[in-house]
Amino acid sequence: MNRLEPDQSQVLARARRAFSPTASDADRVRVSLRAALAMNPPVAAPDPSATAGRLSRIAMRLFVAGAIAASSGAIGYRMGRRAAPSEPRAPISVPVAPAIIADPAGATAPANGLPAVGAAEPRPRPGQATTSVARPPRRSESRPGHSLDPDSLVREIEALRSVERALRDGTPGLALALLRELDRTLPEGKLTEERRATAAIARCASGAVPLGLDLAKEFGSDYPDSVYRERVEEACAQTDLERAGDTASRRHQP
Amino acid sequence: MAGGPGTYRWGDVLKPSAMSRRDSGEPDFDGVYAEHFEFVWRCLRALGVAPAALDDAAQDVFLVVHRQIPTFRGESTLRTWLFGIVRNVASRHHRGTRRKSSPLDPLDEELPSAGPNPFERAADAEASAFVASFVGSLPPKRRDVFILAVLEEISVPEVARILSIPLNTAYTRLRAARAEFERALSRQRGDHEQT
Repeated sequence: MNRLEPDQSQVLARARRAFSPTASDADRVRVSLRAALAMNPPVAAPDPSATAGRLSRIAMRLFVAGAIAASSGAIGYRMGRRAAPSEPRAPISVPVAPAIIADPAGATAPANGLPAVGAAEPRPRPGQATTSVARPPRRSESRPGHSLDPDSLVREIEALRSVERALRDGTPGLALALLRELDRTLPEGKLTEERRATAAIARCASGAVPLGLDLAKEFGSDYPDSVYRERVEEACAQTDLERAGDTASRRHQP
Repeated sequence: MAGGPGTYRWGDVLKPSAMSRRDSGEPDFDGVYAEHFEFVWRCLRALGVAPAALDDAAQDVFLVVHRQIPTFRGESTLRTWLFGIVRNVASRHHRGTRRKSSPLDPLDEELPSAGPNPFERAADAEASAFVASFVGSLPPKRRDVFILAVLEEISVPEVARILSIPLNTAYTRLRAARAEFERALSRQRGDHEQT
């Protein structure tokens, strides 16, 4: 086969260079991949034996039943929080479904200043009323046009929990990747407010403070009465202060 | 995500401990990712996936790899297998499709000073645009040979194996693709000289 002319080789070498990924491309996709795999875990290979098959079917039914119960609990919990004080409240089964929505008053902020979005609520002791009864109503009412699909809600809740866990683990890049994956797989989710709150926090935590502050500001204007608003602002303000502190300390260095 | 069937323990993904080479001899996922990410990325790019969609496309490729790696029996080479997946994924991503940017999109972490100078970058961008356009104009059979043999510099016998075509057919397609490339480049040079 004839060799290429020098000018052809040069064009191809340039194109090859432009087409090649950078190290950050590889890292970014790796994080996204990790997020996607965490959200859609591979299902274990089925056991060929009939007994194992039966057991797995039973387990699957139990899992589906649990998922429906969990989603019902989470929805009931949300509705309970959002209902006006005069409305009768639906029974809330917090112990069944640890709520994705943070307690505005009761939740303790973690040491890193990140809000407890997606964190489990403090579980009530037996016989104790759930704390949601005392919560103020929220302005963001139920969103029309969203079908109540328990499976997708459960997935959304689990994904947001993973986001929160990633934030607590100090891996905001992974949190953003998880949110991106969630947007990709469930664009019409029901927990938009929670997604936007965690996105702003993750942005700030990842060091993109100006963008995070913008997101926090937008979040504040779109959800002025949100229970997350203060925490979002605090998280971004804290990272902003830390950044300012770093800059100041660098400036004072001899 | 803890507990329940089919759950994934946090941090188990893409770690050597979780993806170590199996006793059955199947390739380990982490190794495949590290070794072939560039190949996958460049092929996706050459196959016309828009830069804005590359992250998603590359992720899709490796999700398929992750799912199917236990069934990979080594009857074909790894690159053959990967290129088949890349081609399928690329065909699903519309050529030139632009994804709506979102606040969750990764920021460009490359520093402006990194890499070649602005003139080099401009020349690289021009060359890549030309090559991408040329590759897009080729019929699929010649396109695949051109990408693998010319852009990826894979030997023609291996290209023939990857594409499961006779060696002579691979040479014929390569010869035709190169001739077209030469003509396209001459045309481009002519256009440049006229302007």
